[in-house]
Amino acid sequence: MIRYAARRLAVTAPILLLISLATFWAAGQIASPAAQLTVNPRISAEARKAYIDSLGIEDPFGTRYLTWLGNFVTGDLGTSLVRNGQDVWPFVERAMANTLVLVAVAVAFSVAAGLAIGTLSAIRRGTLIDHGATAVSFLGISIPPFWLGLMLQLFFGLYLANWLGVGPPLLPTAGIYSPGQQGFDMIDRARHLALPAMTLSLQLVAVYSRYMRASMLDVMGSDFIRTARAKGLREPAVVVRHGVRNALIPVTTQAAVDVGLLVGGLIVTERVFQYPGMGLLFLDALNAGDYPILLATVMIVSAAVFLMNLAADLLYAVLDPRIRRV
Amino acid sequence: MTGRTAETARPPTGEALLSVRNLRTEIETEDGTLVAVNDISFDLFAGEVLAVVGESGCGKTMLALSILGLLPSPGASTTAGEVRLAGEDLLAASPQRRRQARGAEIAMIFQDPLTALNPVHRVGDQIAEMLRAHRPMRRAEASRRAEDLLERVGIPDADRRARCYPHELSGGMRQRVMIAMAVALDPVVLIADEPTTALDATVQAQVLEVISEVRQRMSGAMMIITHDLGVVAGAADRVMVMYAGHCVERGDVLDVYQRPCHPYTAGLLAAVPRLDRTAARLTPIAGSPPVPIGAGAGCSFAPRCPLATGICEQQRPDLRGPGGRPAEAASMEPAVACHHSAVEGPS
Repeated sequence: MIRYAARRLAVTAPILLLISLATFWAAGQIASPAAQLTVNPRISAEARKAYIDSLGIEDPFGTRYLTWLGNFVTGDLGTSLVRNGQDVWPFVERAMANTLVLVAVAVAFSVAAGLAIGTLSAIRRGTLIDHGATAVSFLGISIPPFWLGLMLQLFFGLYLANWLGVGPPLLPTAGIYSPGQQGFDMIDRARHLALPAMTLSLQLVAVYSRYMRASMLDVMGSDFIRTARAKGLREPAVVVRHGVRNALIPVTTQAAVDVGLLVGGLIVTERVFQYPGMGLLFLDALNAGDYPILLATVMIVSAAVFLMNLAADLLYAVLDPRIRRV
Repeated sequence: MTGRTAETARPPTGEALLSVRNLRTEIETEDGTLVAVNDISFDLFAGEVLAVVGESGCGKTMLALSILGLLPSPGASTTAGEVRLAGEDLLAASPQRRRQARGAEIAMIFQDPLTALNPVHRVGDQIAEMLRAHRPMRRAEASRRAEDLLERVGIPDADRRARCYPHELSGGMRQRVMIAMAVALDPVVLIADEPTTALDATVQAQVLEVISEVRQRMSGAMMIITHDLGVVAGAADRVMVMYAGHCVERGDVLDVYQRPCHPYTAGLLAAVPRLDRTAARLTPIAGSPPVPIGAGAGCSFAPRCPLATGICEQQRPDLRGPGGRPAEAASMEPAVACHHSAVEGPS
């Protein structure tokens, strides 16, 4: 198992390298960092050129890439080109922490709700519950997160408070803390998390519940389910211990594939809610042509996606004893 | 194989352990209602082994699932008849009571032990789970009992094998696990549905041996469902031949073997390879069994029957006992449902 994980990680390295190369090239196409530097008329052309040369941003592509790569793998993420030359790492660190909180909350909720709804749909197949869940999940899959985010902002931030005749919005619609908030406040933080987490979750709940329903329907038709019933087990034991336990195996694989999908939703969601995470940092860096930050975010998110996939693979092996010895 | 002969067929004593009356099970299909089990009646007494024989699709497994109350839902349901377990009508019982009866009082061994065992749980745990579902028992005690049971069905290193997953065991071992599970609570009725069909020929004999051994220790009765007449000859006291959901012939094993009355039974026997006959070819029964949807008035077997005449296509033959008397459901006497044949015996 450990050897398997190590082999998977070894395969990941060249892929990450390729991603970095592509991102580095693309960043150069989108915006020229040199053009973004404020042109101060009192600085001579020579002085400007000397500054640009010192940053190395007009060097040939290969040189720039190798310099960046050498620094990156030794843990030096470089300095921001537009944020007054500050180190990249503190920005990335803050954004990563915020995004991790958002993703953890959204995924935990989505997995729990998705599996529960999918299971219920499957064992109550053809009933009102099943049809209702099917309709809602198709809606959930079809609604794009950016639109859902805006609607949630309008509803919780404006309409609901107006209808109820209460003053302030029921839920904050941007940021992670109320203005003027000093230090950590659990309640305030959670309230700010609610709408972005909801936006991110709807699609995931819909997708996971579909997977789970299909997988459960498949499993509940198995011979071993009939055996479990023939043993005289109570129905909840049949469903959970024998049904869900087996249905999770294919769902895990499919959920792992969707981790990349989650990243897309994350960028949009963070933008809509001005949530200072990796997505927002990525977008800001992209707009500014700030490639040290851009590359840092892309590389870290890519690595995270690979790690999640690896984790799902290992989880798969834990869930299914038949593939444990690979 | 312990050879069971006519004198070991015990006479019925006391009340039947399992008593099935006029059981009818229907399956809703897109083409109409399929009558999988049609007017089946029989009694099963203590210590007895009844074989239910027929081709694939004749309703054998549906009969077993109807008795257990495990018909695939939605779609299949028992629409008429009685299933009495030691006098108690199970079809009228609450779902809760039926669940309690399953496993503890009526247990079943399924055809393919690979798919019938849950792939993600250790076999010892799967047996222990069964014990704990019916008896108040600590986890450790249930595990110990599971190992004892594995030992009882001839699995060496039972403590180690109990921790194996089904895929780590051979086909024969897996079926032993199923048998251990089925006899764990000493059920009143044990149903074995094609217990050897999915196994290699050499393993089949071993598994039949195990079934025969556990049966000797059981106080209850057993029903073996099979299409393998070799299994019937070795293991059963009585036999019931099913065709298209109907019982077409019943009787003591040796009688039916030596003097099959129904042309279908005769056809089945002629299609079995036998070492003591030097026939160059086996004689198959031409055609395949009908799907019993909207069956006509005649005998279901008529289209394939060498003896069929006009009456066979117009009138369904009743099950008749010796001398042509209508057969009683409760009776143990031999009977056949054919216009052109009758069982021997006093009229």
